[in-house]
Amino acid sequence: MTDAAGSLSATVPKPDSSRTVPARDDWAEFRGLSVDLGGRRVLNDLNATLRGRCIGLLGPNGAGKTTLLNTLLGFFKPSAGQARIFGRDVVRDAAAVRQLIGYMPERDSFVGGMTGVRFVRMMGELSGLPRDDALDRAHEAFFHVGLGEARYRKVETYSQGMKQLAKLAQAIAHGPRLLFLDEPTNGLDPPARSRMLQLVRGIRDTGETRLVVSSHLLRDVEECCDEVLILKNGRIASVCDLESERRSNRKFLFLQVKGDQERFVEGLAALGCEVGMPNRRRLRAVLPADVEIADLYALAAELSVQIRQLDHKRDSLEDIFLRAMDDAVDGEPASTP
Amino acid sequence: MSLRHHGFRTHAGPWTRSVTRPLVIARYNLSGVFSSRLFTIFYVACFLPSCLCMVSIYLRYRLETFAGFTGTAWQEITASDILDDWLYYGILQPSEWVAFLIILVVGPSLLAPDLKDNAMPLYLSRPVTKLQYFLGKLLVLLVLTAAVTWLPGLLLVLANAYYAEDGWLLNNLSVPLGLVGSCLVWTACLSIIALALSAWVRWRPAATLGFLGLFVIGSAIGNLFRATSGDWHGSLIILWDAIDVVGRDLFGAKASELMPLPWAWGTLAVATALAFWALMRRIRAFEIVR
Repeated sequence: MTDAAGSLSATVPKPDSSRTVPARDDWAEFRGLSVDLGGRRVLNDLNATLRGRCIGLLGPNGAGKTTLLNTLLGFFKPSAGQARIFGRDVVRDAAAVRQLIGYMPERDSFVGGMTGVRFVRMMGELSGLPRDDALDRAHEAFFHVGLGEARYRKVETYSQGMKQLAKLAQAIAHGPRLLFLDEPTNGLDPPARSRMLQLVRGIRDTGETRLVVSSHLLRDVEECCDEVLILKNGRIASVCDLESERRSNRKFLFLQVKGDQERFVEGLAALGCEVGMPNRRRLRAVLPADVEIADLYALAAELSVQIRQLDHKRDSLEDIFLRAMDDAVDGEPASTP
Repeated sequence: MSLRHHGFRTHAGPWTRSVTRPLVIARYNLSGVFSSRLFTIFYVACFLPSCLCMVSIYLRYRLETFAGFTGTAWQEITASDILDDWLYYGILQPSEWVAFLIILVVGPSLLAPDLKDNAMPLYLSRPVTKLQYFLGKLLVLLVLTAAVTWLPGLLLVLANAYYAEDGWLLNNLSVPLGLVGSCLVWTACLSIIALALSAWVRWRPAATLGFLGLFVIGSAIGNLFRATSGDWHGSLIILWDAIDVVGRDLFGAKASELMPLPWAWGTLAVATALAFWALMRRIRAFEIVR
């Protein structure tokens, strides 16, 4: 996406400031949101505030991810509580909310008998774009997702990967402020998956649009999301800010040194680090905010100690997810933003 | 068309009004319908009854003049007391058949593909309501039928007024109003039934057969019931009988004895309401598995 994003910044006019979303504003809020379907409670008392540019919606099968998206789209009415998007109630202001949203469904969805560009143009017009704008944007969207050459082919003749991209094109054609992507990499081979994630990151990096990516593939979410909302059995198991998690991990180090280890530990303590020694060969250090890794190298040089190994703590999304699943057994969310 | 922008950008320009969304759906569907050459030929052929009626109106008045000269039996045919009945058979009845045929051909193909291809989440995730989606599809059928039924029918009525004696149109205002009213009631009723079948069957050929079967089997059973019981109750399941009674009443033609007028209206209303209810149950973004 680097190239596309690069050219984007060069060619795209300055967005209307009234439509641009500030970096870390609350844009979605759930208060006691519950949804019953077929006599069964599918979402149960969800309370959360979402701020991230790209939210990963995670959870095992049947956790309620798709139901949450459908509720935010107004397909299902909440049986209790409320959800607000950009300050608007998703039930009372359904039409206004939907105008701000682009949606890429999980299953194959298209209007048969139409060429790709005609299909996307119609969807753009249904979102409220004037006819000429819709035509322009349909072409743009097709080139953006990499289907430019196939835009005059009938949608039903597309391969699985092309259908996924066409679904993305129809979701972004009207330039939504919020994009819901339900399992965007479903059925894609590795290059196509990589391309899809690149596109998602590119949209995220424009800063103009918030994204919600529902997936059960942790790696996909890890690659493009800065916040995750983990659901289990219709409840929020965890809301985690991946960015701050990554930032805090960067301050948590494992070290192996050769030389006078005791003096080095004293030096670290003098710098304000918390130091532990899980075993004789290894040090564990938590750096205070004002201490950088370069300071550790400076200390090592001063004490003639060799740093043979330096590693960050790697708390992967998988760890976060598994911890959330374990903690949710006790009925408590693992963490809150 | 500008292809300068190949990237993602939000839309900063104006948005169209919400009421125009059904028109968008209708426009794309109409263009899809006419992409078939076979349908275009069929549609052009649907103007044939109107053309024949135009010729017959012309000949009728020419023959009346001719009959006036010769004093022969032509006068019996053109007796003015059956004038409206003549127009009823010449304009309204062919229009009802043409509307039926068009809806039979187009109706089942309007909703079934959207449901089969799972397009409903795409429509309904936009600022488009279920009702607007339905109106868009209904508009397709109303526009298609209007162009070959009551619009040329009105021209025929004007032609008839031109040839007839002065003041004919003012004295027979029920003719144009009845023509438009009957055609709209009939096409709306048929369209909603066809859309409901299309939504429930989801397979175009089966929906077409179902629509045809509804009328053929309904008529057969109704007529059988009427023949055996000897009263009019069998007509309650024959929509043709109902529209015949309603059409004649609106048109101001000789009343039909097939069934009482309120029952005819009731039959059409119940059939339309049931079909609408069934249809709206099917227009949804997702199936809920209980």
